[in-house]
Amino acid sequence: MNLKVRHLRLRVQTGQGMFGADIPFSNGLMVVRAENSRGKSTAVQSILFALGLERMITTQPASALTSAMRDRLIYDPDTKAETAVVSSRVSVSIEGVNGEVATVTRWVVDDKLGPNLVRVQHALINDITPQTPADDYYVGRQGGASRERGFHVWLAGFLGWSMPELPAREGRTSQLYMEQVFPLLFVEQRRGWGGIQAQMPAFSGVTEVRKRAVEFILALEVGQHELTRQRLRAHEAELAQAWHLSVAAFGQSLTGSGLKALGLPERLQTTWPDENHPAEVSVSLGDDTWQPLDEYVAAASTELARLDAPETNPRADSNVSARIIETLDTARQVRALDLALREELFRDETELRAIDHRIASLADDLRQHQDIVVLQGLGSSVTEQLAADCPVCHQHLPASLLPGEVPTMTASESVDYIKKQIDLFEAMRNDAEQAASAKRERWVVLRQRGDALTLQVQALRDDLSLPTGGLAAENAALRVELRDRLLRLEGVVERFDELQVKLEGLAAESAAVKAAIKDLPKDELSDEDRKKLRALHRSFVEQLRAYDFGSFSNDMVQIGYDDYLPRRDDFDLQADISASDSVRVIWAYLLGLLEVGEEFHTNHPGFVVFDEPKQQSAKDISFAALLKRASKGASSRQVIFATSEPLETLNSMLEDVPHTLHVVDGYLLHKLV
Amino acid sequence: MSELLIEIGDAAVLGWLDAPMNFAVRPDPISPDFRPERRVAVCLLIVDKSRAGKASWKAMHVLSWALQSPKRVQMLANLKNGVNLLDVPVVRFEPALDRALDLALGLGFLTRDGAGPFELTIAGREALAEVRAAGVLEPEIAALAGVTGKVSNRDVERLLEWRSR
Repeated sequence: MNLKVRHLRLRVQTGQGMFGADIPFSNGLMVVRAENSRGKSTAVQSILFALGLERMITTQPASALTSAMRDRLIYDPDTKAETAVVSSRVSVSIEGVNGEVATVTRWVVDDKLGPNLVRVQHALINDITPQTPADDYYVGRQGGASRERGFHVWLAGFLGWSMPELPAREGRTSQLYMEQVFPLLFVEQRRGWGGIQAQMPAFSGVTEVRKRAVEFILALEVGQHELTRQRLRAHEAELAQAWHLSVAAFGQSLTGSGLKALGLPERLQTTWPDENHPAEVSVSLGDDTWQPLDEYVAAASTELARLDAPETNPRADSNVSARIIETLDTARQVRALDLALREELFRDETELRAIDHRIASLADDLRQHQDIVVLQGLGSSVTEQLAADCPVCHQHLPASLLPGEVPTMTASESVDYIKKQIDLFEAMRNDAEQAASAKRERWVVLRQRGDALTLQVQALRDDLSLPTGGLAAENAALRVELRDRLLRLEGVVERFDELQVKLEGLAAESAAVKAAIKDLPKDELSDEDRKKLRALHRSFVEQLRAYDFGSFSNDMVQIGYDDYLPRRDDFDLQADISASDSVRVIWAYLLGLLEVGEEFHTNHPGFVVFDEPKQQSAKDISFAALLKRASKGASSRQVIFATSEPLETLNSMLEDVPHTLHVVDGYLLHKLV
Repeated sequence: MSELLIEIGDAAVLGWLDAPMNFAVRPDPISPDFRPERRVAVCLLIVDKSRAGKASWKAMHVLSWALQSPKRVQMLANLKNGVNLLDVPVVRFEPALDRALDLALGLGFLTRDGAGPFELTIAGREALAEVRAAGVLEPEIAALAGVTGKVSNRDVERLLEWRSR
């Protein structure tokens, strides 16, 4: 794990010629001094921009850099005359793991090259020749951190990092992004001093992302448990999918066969078969009764055996004409049932459509109300004013656009209300669908029976004309039909048994996975983890002592084992301390992480950037002690401090402190010759 | 009288029944179309979509009406593309929209010169940018984007006056 900045180069092409700046960086404490409005921010933000990390400081990449780099540049320091920026770029030479070097270049403004492109060349900037090969990557777009050509994928490899996949909201997983780790390494003036990890962008929905970032930087093993949990959950999801597919496929195979499966849940179960609600397949008897498949098959087999034994056929001497009349009568009944059922089905389907329509419009209402809740939460000029009283007459603005005072649900009440309605209608739709599909199966059976009866009547007519008399033809027809039906149903029984075996296996596996998830230690710190956190605590308290931390006694300060943040008597330390103490805390914590990295195996790259806080919050801090601490430790560390402190004060501060100082004289961006 | 479930003599029950009845007014659910936040935001979108950033009162009603169903949006898109209207659009003029417009004027998001067209103010533009950035009203924004170019007063008149053509 290593990251060092070796060189920063800015180039701006304007109507007044080429402007630029070059800052070489070295290891140890590196102080860059520039006036606040003369390029200090530009220098710091350029590093962030080149590394594709601008989302730490702004949601709009366009404003990630000062206007000198993207819009207008002051070309004459005396008259403050401005000229338009035609094209501009930032290059940073960095050193990564195993001393590998690379120069990354990103264009801020250019006709051809968009700001999403990052060019990587494997050489230090001063060693680059036109022959140096260049690879193009992209940032700030989807896949920038996951696809092969994503710049952050390249950067992670360059730093020797492997970014973990973490559980996010709604059962998704999301990567830990670079922008979520760097707030522990980079403090930018505008937002960075608001607290530890104040520049954390929250775009991935990862739960407890701050905590995960610290776990990653310190390479805590407790994070590993989370990953295991993650893998188990993924396995569980696969099982659930397999279960759902098996059940759905079986249900599908039953449609149009007059059968219905009951007690087959679509959701993954941990115990199967369920003793209380055994699954079964039922056969429609045409009217509104259903018979279990097993019973039906057994009865049909007995009937077939009886028909197969002609000697014992009790109906051998029956009157054929009477049988015909009987059969025709049955056929009439079946047709009547068929007709009634078709009408019922039509009604059910109409109702289903009505429910669907209702759900669709409720979903639209819900969406619109959710929009309204968002609009209200914007704190925007729209909603703030709508929520306030009338600025002129101090009357309440209306909650609705209806005439008169109507007591109205709030938007979020409406959202809940509509959600409940949707739940209700979805339950209704479910029921109606179940009923309709059962009726469809019954209808299938009725039609099959109708067909069978027609054949039977034909066979009976044949029997009439046969010289031998008796019911031979009818028997034959009945036997053929029955055997055919039995064959089909026995196939279903077989598939149903197979399904049961498969579900039993899935249930057992799911129970095992659930048990394994439960057995995982919840946020259990390993011995090594505790050592690292103790080292962080030691370094942190030592620093506070050295920095004249004034808000209260240092002995009360702890590093919390649940969020790894400094706390005092179980209260968030950052909540009620002075602004200058807040600066001390952030400095001590970030430097503490770096120092832990020098003692233990962690993911810390040995690199921190501090952009000096604005005057008001730093007015009573002497940075001397902070800088002194930063200059100590391993020679491989790099602590970059950007400041606008007067040169005289700075020099006296840095007396006896090993450092490298780069002073920007006047404007950072100056005309190149 | 013996059929009565309550014996007349049962004074306790009668006393209990004699209590005054109280009806609490509960808040009613209302259509999202009557929510000022949404309507004002949609008004801003519509004015922004109109030619020269100005929308007449008629145009506001027509476009707001059109946004209420995908079929009407299609009609609007066809109108711009020169496809003949086969269906019979009956544009509804809603009082709620007038109230939303009054509110938007009062809040300083829109301005209007007399009975002239509505225009976005600077505050209106800021509010609109915020609405667009919030990721809300997606179908409405998409529907308006589906209509090519800006909507002019002539388009609106054509939709209103289709019968006379």
